Amino acid sequence: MSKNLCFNRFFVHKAGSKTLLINELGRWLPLSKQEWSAVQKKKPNPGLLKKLESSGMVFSKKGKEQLVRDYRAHYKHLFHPVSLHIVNPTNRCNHRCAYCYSNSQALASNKEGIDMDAKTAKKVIDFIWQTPSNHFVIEFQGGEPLANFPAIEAMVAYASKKKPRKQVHWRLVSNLSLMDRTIAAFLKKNNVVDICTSLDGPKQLHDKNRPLNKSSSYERTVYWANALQKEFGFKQVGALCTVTKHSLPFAEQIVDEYLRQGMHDITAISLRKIGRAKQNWPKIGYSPKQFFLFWKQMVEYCISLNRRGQRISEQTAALMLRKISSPESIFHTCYSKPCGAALMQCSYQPDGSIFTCDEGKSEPLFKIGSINQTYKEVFSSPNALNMVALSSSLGLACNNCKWTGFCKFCPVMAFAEQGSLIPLLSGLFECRLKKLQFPYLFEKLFSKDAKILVNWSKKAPIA
Amino acid sequence: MSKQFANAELHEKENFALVALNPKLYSQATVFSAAYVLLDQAFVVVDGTPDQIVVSLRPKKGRNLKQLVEQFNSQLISHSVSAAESKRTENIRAELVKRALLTQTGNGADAKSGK
Repeated sequence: MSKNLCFNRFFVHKAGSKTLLINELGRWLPLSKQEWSAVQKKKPNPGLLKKLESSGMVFSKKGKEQLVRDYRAHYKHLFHPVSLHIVNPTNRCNHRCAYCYSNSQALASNKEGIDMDAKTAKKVIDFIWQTPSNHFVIEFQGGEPLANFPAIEAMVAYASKKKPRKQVHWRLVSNLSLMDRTIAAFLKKNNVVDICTSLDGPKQLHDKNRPLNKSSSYERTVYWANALQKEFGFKQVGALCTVTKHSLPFAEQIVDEYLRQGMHDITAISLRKIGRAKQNWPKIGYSPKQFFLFWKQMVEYCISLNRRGQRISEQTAALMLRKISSPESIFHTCYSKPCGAALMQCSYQPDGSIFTCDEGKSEPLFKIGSINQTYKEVFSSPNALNMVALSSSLGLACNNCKWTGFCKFCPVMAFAEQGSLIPLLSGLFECRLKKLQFPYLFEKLFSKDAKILVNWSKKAPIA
Repeated sequence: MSKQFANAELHEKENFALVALNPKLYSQATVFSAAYVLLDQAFVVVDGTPDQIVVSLRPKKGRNLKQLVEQFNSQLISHSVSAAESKRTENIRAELVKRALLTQTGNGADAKSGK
């Protein structure tokens, strides 16, 4: 036994015949029964000791540099300023989705206070230009952002003339039902070509989740998702699948629908219990276990299709596997600790107020400032910095959970579900769900499906 | 007439409970934090002596007295754990916040920042 043998803090998880040691940065080491026995007796042979050192389970002179690199990689996102600016040109929408966390107003609503005016639109761009970064994403959301297309036009045109020149990646998140040829041509001409929409499944399911007055929201979404690609030359239109209680029996049919539409990435999103979703929970909600079983069925179906040569991946699994593959930060707001709220992302409202993130806009507590302040004032405000400290989850029992290195903590959802920023973690939807998802994914990593899943994780999009 | 339930004396007829707490187990800050979370569900009075903290819980309309006591005890544990973890990690959290502040104020942002 080495005289320098000093164990770091690690957690233990059994995955089949393997014992996994997992440290708090998310680096893990699978051990055989004999190796685990040797660790418990603190008598690792030289080969095992080398593995323990290089994985950060044991402190040593040799392993120290790797540990320092892992810490730096894990918290890498702290060295980058805000890179995702979510702009809501309006809170009006023509859909009445039962799960809308924006609590959008009807399209016919009085625009005052709900639509961003031209002056505010320019001020938003002026504010964004103050970021220390030279490259960033500006993403239009809502409500339905196309309901206030003039504001989008104004912002894109104004930004194109701003000095100093900065590299803007434009993104539009839209239900596509208000799209027309003029708007499509403008978006293409001005390089707003990263389009994301919602596709909850086959027509009947999609229309049930996302009612559009006297019309089929499915037909409009699918028509424009195809037209943008075929007629206007957009490379790809992405989609997200929000899962309600109505979706639960149709995991495979939803995947088939995505393939029918030529989409090879599907992201099954569980409901966020804010806005209309909270009000409608008895009609559309489910338990974490129910969602897990749906998601698992979807993942298994995608794997079976992969084995038959069909390219399709479930992106939540891909992202979680990416987190599992390395302690390195993946620069995704919702998959980091501290999370990206008020750090990698912020959300601008029609009245110019700035919130920590897109979900944070639902609660005044998460307002961090306004466009009438400077960038420094907003991001050094107590609310912004408190968000960083809170979402690190270091002050919570999260820190004693074996999944802490891979997992996330969302103060917005904690507050929405329990009315407290110090939640009872065991009661949180996301906590209960992750405690089902992580063991399942580790079990798959030691199965014959591992190669397929590792491929998914390598192609997982990062922010 | 009162009834004992866990660490509380339930006065069901008058619809309130008195929860007795050991001040060596729970700090004042923990007790107040736990009580604060329940303010929308109950009227709370925190009192006692140096040897014992006594918390009076009177449920607001539609709330169950026993469940309230159970929730309060759960919140005490949650806040105690959080207080212990916060103390243990205060230095690293301060470093994380410091780093975020430096980055956002343009001092020390990565040269290749933004994606």
